[in-house]
Amino acid sequence: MFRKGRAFLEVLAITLHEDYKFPVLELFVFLLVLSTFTLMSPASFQATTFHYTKERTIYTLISAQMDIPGIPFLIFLVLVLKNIAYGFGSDFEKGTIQVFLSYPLRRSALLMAKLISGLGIPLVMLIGAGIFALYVLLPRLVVGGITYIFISYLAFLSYGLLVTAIILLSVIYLKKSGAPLAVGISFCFLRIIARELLDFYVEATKRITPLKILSIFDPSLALRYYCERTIWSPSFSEVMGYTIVSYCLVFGLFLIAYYYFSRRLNI
Amino acid sequence: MREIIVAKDLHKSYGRVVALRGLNLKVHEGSIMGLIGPNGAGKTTTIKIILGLLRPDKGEVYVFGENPWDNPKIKKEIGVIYEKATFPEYYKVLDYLRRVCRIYGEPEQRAKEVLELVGLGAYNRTIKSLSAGMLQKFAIAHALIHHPRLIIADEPASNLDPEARNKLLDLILRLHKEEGVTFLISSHILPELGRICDSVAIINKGRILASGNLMELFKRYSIRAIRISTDKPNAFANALKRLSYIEDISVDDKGVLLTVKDGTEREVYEDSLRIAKEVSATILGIEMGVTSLEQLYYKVMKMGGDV
Repeated sequence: MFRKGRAFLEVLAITLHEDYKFPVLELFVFLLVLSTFTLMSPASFQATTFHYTKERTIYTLISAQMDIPGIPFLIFLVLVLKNIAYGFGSDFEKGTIQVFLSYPLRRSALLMAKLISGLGIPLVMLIGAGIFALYVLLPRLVVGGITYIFISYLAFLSYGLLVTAIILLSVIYLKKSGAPLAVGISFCFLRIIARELLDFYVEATKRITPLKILSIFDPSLALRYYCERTIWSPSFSEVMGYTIVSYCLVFGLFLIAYYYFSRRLNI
Repeated sequence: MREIIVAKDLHKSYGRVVALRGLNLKVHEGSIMGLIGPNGAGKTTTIKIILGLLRPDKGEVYVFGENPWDNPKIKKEIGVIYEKATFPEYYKVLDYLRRVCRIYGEPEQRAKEVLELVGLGAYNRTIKSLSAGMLQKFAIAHALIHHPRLIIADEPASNLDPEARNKLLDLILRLHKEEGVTFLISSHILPELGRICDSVAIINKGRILASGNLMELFKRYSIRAIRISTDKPNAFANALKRLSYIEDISVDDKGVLLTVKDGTEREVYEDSLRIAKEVSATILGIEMGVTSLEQLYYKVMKMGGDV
């Protein structure tokens, strides 16, 4: 008997099997946990030694894991690039997408399966490794500051999700794997370059407007100044505001990708 | 008989390239329809619109009475065989088909049944390691898993050897006869299509030039060919081309097939013997009144069709 939802689960299983052929998943989990502990341990020592506030301690530890060129975040991006830019892009190039679309499931369900496998799993791995490391290093901090940890992760992940949405849109629009891969890598470098230039510019001119603009795309920047309180001291509600705006942008792009794939895309 | 596929006034362009210009097509339940035409005629575009992979710029298409675009309901009834299908390559043949069984709610032993049906024994090989012919057999097995009522095939025999091709044609006839499966088959291999199809649609430049029951089309286009079997078919065919009353000539595996102007059949007989002598060919047999899909195709293409 054909059951609704069964096709989705089976296609998800197929996608997971193809995206994480042994030992890809195992290797990446190991690297992620190892690098998270390696980077968070000195950060936790620093935070304890200098008696940071709870917020700053959480920020320092999570930024050690998430800030580019931090290895854990890089692993996350590599997985997203591999699965969405290369994997999903190849489905279009090779024609596997036509096979998937011959199954009795909606286009939106197929896209959801691809996103769960390509983005959901790396997200769970990244946040899971981070919270596990935080709990092992500073257990009381996790128990008392879970909300703040959650908001910090939201702020740090925003830019990565924005890049993922752009990659997804370019995959669906171009139906290729090469160009979206280049787009994804370029955006990662763009963030590093923009951050470096911005630090230099702000230091030289003492103007904070560019910081505010960049925080719309990368609210972890506002979070950093909220914790460090140097040249710019945004309030917590401002940080929340930047995070909400950036997620509106992210969801907007995902929504466009969803709409285009479900309603418009000719294959 | 009920119309399973109805396409009305389909138009589709890719930028400046016009693929379909007002295509109309009907496929009746229980028929085997061949969709034939030269490269770039619009066959694949038509099939993709029918499968809901493309949206037409204008016009309507109904499959089982419903719009095929993003419609999971009708996909349960359709089996698809693509010319160059690519499947998730790291799966083993049997494992993947078992998963497809679960997608359609079929028992898992159906996977082995369909593999036996198409004669593919490489159960434990990865899809990536299959040869082109084996992959084509796998694609056919994949399309049969859920007992579809309609099978749409784009060049299904293109990668198969002659023996496998014959087996595929027999399988199509068997499924049609025993399970009442309707087929829409796009192919370039006309003699084989002619063996199994009961109706055809000839397409060129995005329009259907002629479509309908094969026998009626033979009658409508006065297709009565002459087949001459000889040991040197190519040289013999070349020499025959100079005869003014010959309308069309082609060479197939059974000999030289030609159509002539009405009332000249007798002359063909005499001239053939003379020309065979000239090119040192031996006539093995002459068959009058042969009907063939190739002849119909060439005649319709030449005339531009009147639908």
